[in-house]
Amino acid sequence: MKNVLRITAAAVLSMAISAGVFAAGPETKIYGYNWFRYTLGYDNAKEKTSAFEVKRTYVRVKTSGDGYEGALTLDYENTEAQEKINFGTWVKYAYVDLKSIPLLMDAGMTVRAGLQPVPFGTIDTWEYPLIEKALEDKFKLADSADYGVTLRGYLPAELGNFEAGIISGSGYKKAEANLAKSVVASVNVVPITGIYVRGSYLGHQIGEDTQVNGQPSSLAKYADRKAVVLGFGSGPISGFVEALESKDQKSSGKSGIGQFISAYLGMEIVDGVSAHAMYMVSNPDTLKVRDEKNVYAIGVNYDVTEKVLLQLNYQMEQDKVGGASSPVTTNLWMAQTKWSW
Amino acid sequence: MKKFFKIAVVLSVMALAAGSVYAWNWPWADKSENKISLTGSTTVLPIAQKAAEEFMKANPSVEVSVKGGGSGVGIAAILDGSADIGNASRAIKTKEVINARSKGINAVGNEVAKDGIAMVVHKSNPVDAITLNQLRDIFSGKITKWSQLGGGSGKIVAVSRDTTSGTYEVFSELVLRGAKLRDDAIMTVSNREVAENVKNTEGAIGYLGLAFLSDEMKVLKVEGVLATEANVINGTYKVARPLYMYTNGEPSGLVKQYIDYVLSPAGQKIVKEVGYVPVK
Repeated sequence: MKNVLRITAAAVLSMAISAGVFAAGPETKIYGYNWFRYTLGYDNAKEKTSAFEVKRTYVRVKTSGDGYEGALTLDYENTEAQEKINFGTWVKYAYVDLKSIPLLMDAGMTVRAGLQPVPFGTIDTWEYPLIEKALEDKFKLADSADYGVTLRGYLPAELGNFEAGIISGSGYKKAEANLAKSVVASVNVVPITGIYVRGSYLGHQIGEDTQVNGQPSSLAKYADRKAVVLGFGSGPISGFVEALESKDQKSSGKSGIGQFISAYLGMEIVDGVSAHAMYMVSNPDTLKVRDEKNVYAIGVNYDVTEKVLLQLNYQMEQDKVGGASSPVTTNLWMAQTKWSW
Repeated sequence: MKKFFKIAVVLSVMALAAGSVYAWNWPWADKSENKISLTGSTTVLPIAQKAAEEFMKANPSVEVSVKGGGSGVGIAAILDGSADIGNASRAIKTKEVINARSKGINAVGNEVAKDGIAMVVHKSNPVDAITLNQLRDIFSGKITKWSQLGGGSGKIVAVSRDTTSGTYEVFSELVLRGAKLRDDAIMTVSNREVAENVKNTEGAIGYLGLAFLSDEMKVLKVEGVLATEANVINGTYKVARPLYMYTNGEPSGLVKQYIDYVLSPAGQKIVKEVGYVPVK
């Protein structure tokens, strides 16, 4: 399967490059990013990790022509650093934006079809000012990309934008596990310059057949996610607070409500140097104790050149928070270069 | 649930308080007062570069840096604060406006010039006027003979600019409007080459910037309006677009001085010299 995927990706990329070289009509851009990271980690003061990794490489192809824009992203991810070198290849995005559909075009709306970013919370808007992932990605509350069709448009008077659609619900790394689809919707409102509010909903429905590959499924029969993001930007300072609630119905019939919060603050210190801080708290099931997790992250970014960013981060994660016993604490020191080309 | 909301409210208040800290002066965040940077549209680039040279001659202690990259790059530079002025040959898109406002940026487009495209035919062609729809049909291949437009007999020879040029960009946006350029169009690399082809080919029709018009070809009225500098300035000639220098908020300080220079008689003379139409 991996070889099939690699060959397919290489073929698609070759065609895309050829289209860019030989086509007179569409405009095609090829660009990408590469992350090289060093991580030093301690679990309760005991050294556990010391690793260099080419963490990730994205190769992106974007093409635009009359009435459409297409995007393809290949994701080369080193998933097993310290155990072996394994650049797993994924097709992260492969979608087309259709801009000339009658009636929709007049209303300024676009249909996006394919493997696309999931428009929920901050998972699709997080630009990695810190090395850590967005809340939904970190605690596996939503997938960063999924297969589906979404409608995208703008609110009147340029007050904001919205996305709504149907996705598979299983993400871009798994085969679809059920017959039912998931729905996703987000509305982003900018009531005054410098303040925005985004509300998102993600609903998974799983059909009656809870068997996966012949085995009883532990997947939830339904899962809801609701998120609200309140953000601001003012001069060199920007930030947001996100609150997310999840409801997962276990196949045993016992419901669990999860609550999650993240807060981010970033500031440009001088030209090319910025500081960032983030706090996340995860309580995946309010009926359980000692399943909470806290994450604190701070970092400094430095634009070494126009194309190379250096990130220095410290991160503390507390696991099994709550109850009488002390949490398990992990300290991570990370240095990462992000190279754009 | 109560704890959840308490935490959310406290963090929201902290975030808004942090935002208000911007009201304080952060001296180490001040940019140089004697340096401004421009980036963006390659169409606006010749205006920006020439104006920068003259502006620096008049103000020797000032440094003005100018880069290209495209209109999208120019507008993105205003959004992320990496340039003082973002050059663009198009209006800012809704998506970019919303993104800018989310970040506290009020992108203001300062129109510094206009880019007009004239439709020209061979001097012997009896056709005097044409509509935008007819132009679209000609250049997309739906109309192939001059007799379909009330002209003489003979096949239409469409002469176009290469698709990477700013002139083609305007033509595509305002005339083709989504239609595909015909496969048999003669592709040229410059306005002068368009003029040569039209001048020497009886059935030819082409398009070029106003600065390249001459008596050796015939200029068509488009939607009843002739392509003149005056008609581009007053907005009655439709195959024209504004060229912008975008700033974060109304321009001030050195940025205002530079843009005021571009809009001055000396700056507008530069606009004409590089082949565009002044705004006034």
